[in-house]
Order: sequence, then C-alpha cells, then structure tokens
Amino acid sequence: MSTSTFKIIVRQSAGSLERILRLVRHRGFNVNYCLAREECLENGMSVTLQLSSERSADNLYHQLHKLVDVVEVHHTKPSRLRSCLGNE
Amino acid sequence: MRGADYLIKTLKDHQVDTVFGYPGGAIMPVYDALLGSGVKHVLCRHEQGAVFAADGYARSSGRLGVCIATSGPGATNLITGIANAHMDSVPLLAITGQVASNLIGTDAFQEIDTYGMSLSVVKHSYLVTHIEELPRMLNEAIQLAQSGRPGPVLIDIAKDVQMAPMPATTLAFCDDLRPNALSASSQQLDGESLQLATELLSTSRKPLVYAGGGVGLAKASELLTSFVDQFKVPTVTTLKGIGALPSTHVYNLGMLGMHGTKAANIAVQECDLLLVAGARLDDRATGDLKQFAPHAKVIHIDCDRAEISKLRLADLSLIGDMNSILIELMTSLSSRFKHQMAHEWRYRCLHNKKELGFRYDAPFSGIYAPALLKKLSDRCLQQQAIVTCDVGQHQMWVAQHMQFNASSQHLSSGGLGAMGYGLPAALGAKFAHPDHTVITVSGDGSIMMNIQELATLKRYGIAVKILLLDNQRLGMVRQWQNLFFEQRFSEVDLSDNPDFVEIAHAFGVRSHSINQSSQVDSALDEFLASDESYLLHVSIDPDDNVWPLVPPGKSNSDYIEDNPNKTKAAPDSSQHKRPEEATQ
Repeated sequence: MSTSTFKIIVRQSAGSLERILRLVRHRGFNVNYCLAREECLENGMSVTLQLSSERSADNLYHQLHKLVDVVEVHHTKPSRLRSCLGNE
Repeated sequence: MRGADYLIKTLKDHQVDTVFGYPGGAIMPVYDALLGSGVKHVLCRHEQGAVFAADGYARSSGRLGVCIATSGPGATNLITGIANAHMDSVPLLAITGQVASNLIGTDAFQEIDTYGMSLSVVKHSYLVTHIEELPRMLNEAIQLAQSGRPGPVLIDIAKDVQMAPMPATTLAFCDDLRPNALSASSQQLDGESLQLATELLSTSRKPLVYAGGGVGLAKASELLTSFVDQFKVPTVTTLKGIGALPSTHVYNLGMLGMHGTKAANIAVQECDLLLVAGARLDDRATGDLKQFAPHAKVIHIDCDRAEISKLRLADLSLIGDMNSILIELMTSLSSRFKHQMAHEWRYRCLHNKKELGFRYDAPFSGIYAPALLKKLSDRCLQQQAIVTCDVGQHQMWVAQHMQFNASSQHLSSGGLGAMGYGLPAALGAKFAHPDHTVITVSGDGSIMMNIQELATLKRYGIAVKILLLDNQRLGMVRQWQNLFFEQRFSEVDLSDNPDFVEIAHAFGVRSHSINQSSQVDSALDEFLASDESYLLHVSIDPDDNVWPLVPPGKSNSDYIEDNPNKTKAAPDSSQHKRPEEATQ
C-alpha cells in the first residue's frame, strides 16, 4: 500500500468533484484526504487528494487526465504532500 | 426558437439526419420539434433497442449515433446501451428529457438522477437547467463524442429548458477552461521513440502485429494492411479488431485470446516483438497476464495515453493518431527492414495457420453451426455484408468462422458483452447502409432480450436477416458449467422457448426453420435472396461447444480443444424436450 498526492485543476461544473471521486474509487484508491476549493481561474476549482492503494498511481494520473472537466493534474510525492498540507 | 428547436437545428447543423428513440412526458417538446424538421426519427419499441440501434448506426458508418429517451425509466433503459458504447468507444449522443428544473430533487413523477447515474458509463455528461447553457453544452457534447477516443456523451435537458425561448446571446466557451479533449492537438510524434520502434522492428526475428478496435475507429485499416503487406508481419486481431486487416489476408492469423485460433495464440506466446495497435489488452484476449507473450517486447500504439502500460508494461509507446504513426513508421522502417530477418518466423506462423485451422467435417446429420456460418460467410463476403451478433457461443462462432473485409462489417458487443445487442444494432446499421446486406446472428437466449424490435423492422419495412442459432440453452453459460462447475447445470435450460417461427409471423416477418444439414444450402439461398426481413431458425445440438477455449485465468498456451467431460452422462442431455418431459 503506497500513498500518492494529486492536485487537480478542474473546470467547475455540477458533478465535477463527484466524477473525480468516482474514478478514484473505481480504480481502486482510498481517499485519505480531500480538499476542494475555488481556484482563481474563472470557473475553476482545485482539488487536492491524498490517496492510498496497491495500484499504480501512474495509471490513475492518466485516467484523471482523461476526465473532460479536468484541466491539469499534478502528481506529487508523499513527502511533498506533508509539507503542502502543513501550509494549508 | 425554443430550446427543443435549437436542439434539432444543432443536430442538423452537425449532419445528423437519423435518430433513434422513444417519446415520453419529459421529452415531449423535443418530439414536437422533430415534427417536420427533416430529421428522421426511428421509433424503436424499447429505449434499449433505440440506443443499441444508434450504436449499430455509428459503428457501421463511423458517424455519430443519436438516441432520445424520456426521464426516469426512459433514461434507465438507455444505460446498458450507453455502457456498451463506452466499453467499445462508440461515438454516441444520448439525449434525455428531465423533469422541469424546479422539480429536480423533489422525487417528482419519472424523476431520476440521470446525470448522476450516467457518470460511470459515459465519456462525459451534462445536465442542462438553464437555457443559456444549452448551446455550449450541446455543441461540446456532439464534439466530445466524436473526438479523440470516441465514446458516449449524455445530455439531460430539463423540460422547462426545452420549452424556453432561446436568448439572443448565450454563454460562450471559456477558452481557459475549454476541455482538453477539444483543444487542438499539438502532440508531435516523439522522434526518439520512432527511431527506437524502427530499431526494434528491423531487428526482430519474430515480430507480430496485435490489431484492436482502435485501428478501425481511426480509419487506419488501409494503412495497417499496407504495413503488413510491405513488411510481411504476421498479425493477430482482437474481437473488435476483426476486419482491421481483411480476414482473408495471408498474414492474418485470426483472433487471439480465450476463443482465439491456435495459430494466433501460439504466435503471441512465441513472438519476440508485439506491435499493439489500438488495443487495450483485455483479459479475454491476454489470458493470464503474467504468462502473456512472455518473450516479447511490446510497442504500443494508441490515441489514449491511459491505455499504455495499464495492464502490460509497454517497452515503447507511440501515442497519437494511428494513421500518422503508421505512415511515419513505414517511412522510417522501409530503408532498414530486412525481410530475411523474420523469414523462418513467417513460415512457422503460416504453417500453423494452415495445419491448425478449423475443421468443418462434423459426421452427423444435424446442423453444425460453425460450418453453417462459414458457408454463410463464403456467400456474402463479396457483398460487403454487415454482420451483427448478440453475445454467447454464436458470437464466438461468428468471430471464428466468418470473414470480414472491414471492422465496420462486424458489429459485436465486445467490452460489455451485452445480450440483446444484435437485432437493434442490425436495425441501426441498415438505416446507415440501406443498400447493404445486414445480417444479425443470434442465439435463442439473446434474441429474447430485444425481440420487440421485430416490430421496428416491420414498421419501417427494412430488410434485416436474422439467423437464429437455437440450442435451447444458454449455451456459453452451460459450456462453463460443464467445464468448470462439475456439470452442475443451473438455469440454462431454455427448452420451453416459444416457437420462433410463429413469433416472427406474428410480427409480420418471414421465417423458416431447419434442423438437418441437408437443408442448409437451400435455406441460405432463400435467406440471402429475400428482399425483406427474414428469420431463419436453425436448431443445433446443445452439446456443440466453442473450441478452442482458454480457461479463465490461464495462459493462452493452455487452450483446450474438446470437452473433457463428454463421456459422462450430462444431466440435461435430454435435448429438445420441455423441462417437464425431461424429468419424466
């Protein structure tokens, strides 16, 4: 079981967060931490997720990228996650 | 102009001239707008029939398939068909009516959360609750369904939006947040990867092409055929890749996987380089992944980055448009490829193809379905016939024993494996290709799942030929119970089937029944000559199974070719009797 952190910029629409969480669940990841908030971009939202799974986070990265509302995906290492979360 | 009028106008602007659907309360404004619009609406007899028909229309033509349904049960009935299009990457637009926006979330009559229900089975979906949003969402939906890797997009439109007047100005795209999938692709083929691919292909002694449904979707079949012609690379196909290289091509070894040909599965297990083109390495194709193509390096060509190394690690990936990649690869390879490198390999593959091919000399008077399908295929291959299937043993027999010149001629529910697909898909294909022979091959289990669409054939007077292979069983489930569940046959006996000939007659469809091999030739003559819909009912032996078979979870090397339990007395061997007779 390893952890991964994703920061996702998403076009805000009804259900865009739901789509991300559905995908994460279906692809075999547990959500340990989730923060969603409006982004300064017009109509944008940022979603930060800390996930754990035995599956490849690389595959999930590409699957998240495929979501139509997703604009950017950043995959960071767990050590960087902790410092990021400390600043939130 | 109302929202509903705008919807129909936009469909016409996108060259949509045929839609499939079923009306109901929450979609009535759209049906009102359809009247006199010039868009042909095909009234199916169930929403699942409508969505499968739209799927068949799209797969056979490469154009957008469109289906329409009302809220609640109309939308829930679409879901199987939308999932089917999602699994097989079919460009489909599903339009559903929704209760008025002020009633959403109140458990109103025929209200269901269609948008929420759709999330796991669509490429994308929209809920339109404000008329200003309709133009952006609708145009995005139409483009998304057909862009990149195609797929189904659902647009759920509240009834008040359908009836609202279109405002003079509408919300425009926000360019900063335009979906990535609709942005102009600036992806250039990586020169280094191309060179590496050239190096691997030019030095391989046992190269093999693994062609999937993505080849046909990218309309790259001609280029793939040129590639195989030029470099003489043996090729295997997936179920959806059938026709990507003509079945009659000398280097086509057939379908791989659970019911693949022996020559194809042996080649995959022995090759040293696998060029995967537009395929997702599905478990039915690969068998046990740990033992799949154990000696091969893998080059994976796909437009979808998420498929690369999803299941089998690719040594090299070429991501983007299949046509561009194949052209670049052929150019790069032409000066370096040495045919003699793989000479022995080619000989071995072609030898296996010849020596391990299917046999059709069943020594009994009954009808052997594989032999019948081969005869049918031989007679209609030159007619560019389109063949649709349902799901089960007959589906695998079609894949094994019929030949196709193009993947758009073989329509099969590959990923989802949805029984009930064949008849409505054939209906849709016939609307897309009114001058083509369209045949659906079905089983006695599958045909009952959407048999109501016989009424649609009759209503529109279109000619779909239905070949019904009837073993009075759920044959594939029975085969597995026989092999893997100690012959404990559970709920697979359909010997109380209705009289299918009488059913066809009741719907006004010509029909005929045969049960002896001596009847096959004349029956096929009449079947193919008919200029109206025709159901040919064929009684076959329930003990005829699909071979070879790779047991689930096993290596593709571990195929079995016959029933190891056949000497035992099968508890339901009293074929063609009703259950009560069988127990007497």
